[in-house]
Amino acid sequence: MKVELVVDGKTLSLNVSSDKPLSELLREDVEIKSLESCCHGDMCGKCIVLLNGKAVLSCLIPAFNVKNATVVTYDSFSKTKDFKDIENAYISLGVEPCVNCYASRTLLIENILRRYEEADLGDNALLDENMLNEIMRENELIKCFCMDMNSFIEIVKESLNNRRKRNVNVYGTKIS
Amino acid sequence: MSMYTELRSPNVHEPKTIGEYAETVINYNGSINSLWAGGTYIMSRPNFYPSPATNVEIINLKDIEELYRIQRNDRFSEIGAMVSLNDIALLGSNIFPKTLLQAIESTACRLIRERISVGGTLCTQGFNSSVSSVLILLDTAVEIIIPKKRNFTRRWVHGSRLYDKNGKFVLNTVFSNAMVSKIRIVIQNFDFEYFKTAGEPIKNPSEAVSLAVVSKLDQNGVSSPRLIITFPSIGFVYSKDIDNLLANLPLPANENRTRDLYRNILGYIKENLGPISKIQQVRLRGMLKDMVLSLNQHILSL
Repeated sequence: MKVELVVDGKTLSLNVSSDKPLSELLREDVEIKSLESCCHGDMCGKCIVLLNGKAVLSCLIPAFNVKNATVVTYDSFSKTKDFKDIENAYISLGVEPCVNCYASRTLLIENILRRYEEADLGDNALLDENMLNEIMRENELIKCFCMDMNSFIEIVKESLNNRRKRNVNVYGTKIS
Repeated sequence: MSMYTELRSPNVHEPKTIGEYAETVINYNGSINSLWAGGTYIMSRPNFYPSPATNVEIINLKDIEELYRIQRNDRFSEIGAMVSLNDIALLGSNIFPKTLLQAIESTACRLIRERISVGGTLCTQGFNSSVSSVLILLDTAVEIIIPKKRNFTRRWVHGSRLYDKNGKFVLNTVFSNAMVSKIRIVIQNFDFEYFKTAGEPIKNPSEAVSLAVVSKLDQNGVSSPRLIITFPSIGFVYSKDIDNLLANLPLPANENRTRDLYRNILGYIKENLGPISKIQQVRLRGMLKDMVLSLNQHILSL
């Protein structure tokens, strides 16, 4: 099956089996190095990519469902300003994920930031209990015990602050 | 390697309307038709890829716009089969019973829920989710599409018609090539709602169990209760007999009565579903105890 998609800004036309998982496609056919995917659909959480702007477990997406889609992997995301917000949070809190889950956890945090950016909570809004529960459950998706729950939540909050500061200009209005 | 991969690549059909779907299903009647909604459960099965089957025809439902429609009025909500569980949860924090929302939240985290469709949840062969059991508990009606020669018919049935009495999915044995197109959830209030789940239903279905109960309460106790127990790899347990056990439970109930309730329910399960694992028994006992405690609290506060 011919699948056309954009991966990390490059338009590709691939000839692959229609039921091939996106994780396998990215590793074998596009040679994305940051993908840790060895679970074959067992939801280990280490194959997260952004599919059309939303985080997904790439092992659960078949090739026929990514026709004309835009995929962003950690390889290209790590070169963006959005990544800097998260990286600065890692540095300022002195905690960062291990090498096995760094890429997936970073993209997961980016997905959470985008969701709450869209929700427009206001500049001083804190994450309420429901949001925190949701974030905790999402963190549990990544089967790696290198980071405790509190650290993860602190990183999300710090990243969200960094993102808000960056999105507000010197006059205090939001940059659209 | 790529040559062989290409040789056994399943055909993918992407109908845009229900009519096109019906046509595809009729044309490929002899093959293994795999209906693809969200695909989360199918993809998470071990050895899904590469598939050993050779004549699989995948019918991807994602382009059928009708399956994404949501309609609401004062009495019920109609939800298309391709609407994700997460969208239902976001839609319904005020209108749907708490039990349903808790069942949806317990299914998986948001990232996964966004990809699970309600139609797929109802129609997964060999797997019973707590969402589908709660939908049955809430008397959800289901619209099914039945392809005929060059046409199709629509029919509304009660959600429980998709399964046999023990929760085995039987829609396709009753109606050949049928598909669920939408569900109708009646907006209703209950005085008492309880939902608990234990274990990981998708990853370890033989150890997971969930319990959902809804009922009205009055000063005499529970009236018209409904109870459903889900064992993801075995089936559902729901019966008027079990509902009557709960209706006849004098409240507040002590531990002995709770134990009797558990024994009776376990006896019913063994008789109808067969044996369940030890951990499921322990979990079910804990849930029933917790549910009765919660009922006691409700009754005493009336």
